[in-house]
Amino acid sequence: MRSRGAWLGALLLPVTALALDVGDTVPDLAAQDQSGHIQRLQDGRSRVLYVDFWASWCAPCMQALPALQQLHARWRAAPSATPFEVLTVNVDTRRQDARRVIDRLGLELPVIFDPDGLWAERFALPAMPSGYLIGPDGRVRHVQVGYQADAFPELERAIASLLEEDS
Amino acid sequence: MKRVAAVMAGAALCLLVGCSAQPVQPWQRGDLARPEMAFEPDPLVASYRRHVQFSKEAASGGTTLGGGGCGCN
Repeated sequence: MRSRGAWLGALLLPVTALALDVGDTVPDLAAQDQSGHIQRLQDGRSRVLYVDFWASWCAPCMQALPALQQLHARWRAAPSATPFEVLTVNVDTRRQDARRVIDRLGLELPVIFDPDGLWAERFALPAMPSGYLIGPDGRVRHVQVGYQADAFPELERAIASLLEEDS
Repeated sequence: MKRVAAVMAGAALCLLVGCSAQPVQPWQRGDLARPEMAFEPDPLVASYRRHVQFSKEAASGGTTLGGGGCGCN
């Protein structure tokens, strides 16, 4: 009877309850980016990684991407032994929609196309856009839900603290 | 009889669970945002239809009346 209850509970559990949160280890996912390079979340390299999920139909994502590109340019040059990298994951079902945005924004960040929502499902995104700051140990250190320009300083503090921690 | 009732209750529960466990996820909303998913994909046609409906609605009534105008004005 108890196992029946557990099954029913599991079925009723919303996907958001399984969302990746601070302290969780990121899933070992790998995919080819728009340049043909294999991007792996758990590649064993010591790096600070920010993974951002976006889509062409998501207006806040269009604001977040240029800000993210600037953030990457600022922190890539930071004097630290640990590199800071940004990986973006596009969840559009039609690749041409994503490509149009990449061209329009002049996006130079690596983009992974996830039309089937495999990455999005493993992260169980709570909203669009969602960003995850991953430490060198492969654990989530900061979760950015949605886009607010005034939330970026907090993210930058988390990046700075991670880079200092590892240097 | 009891068995049939239990199966029926189980099936009803499964149907209910199916509704609750499959909400549209945030990353799937792009399909809903497509123009072809709108009730009125063409704004010009939608506006024309509303105008005709508005023009006819005031003059219609029961089965004895002939209906409204053409909605041209």
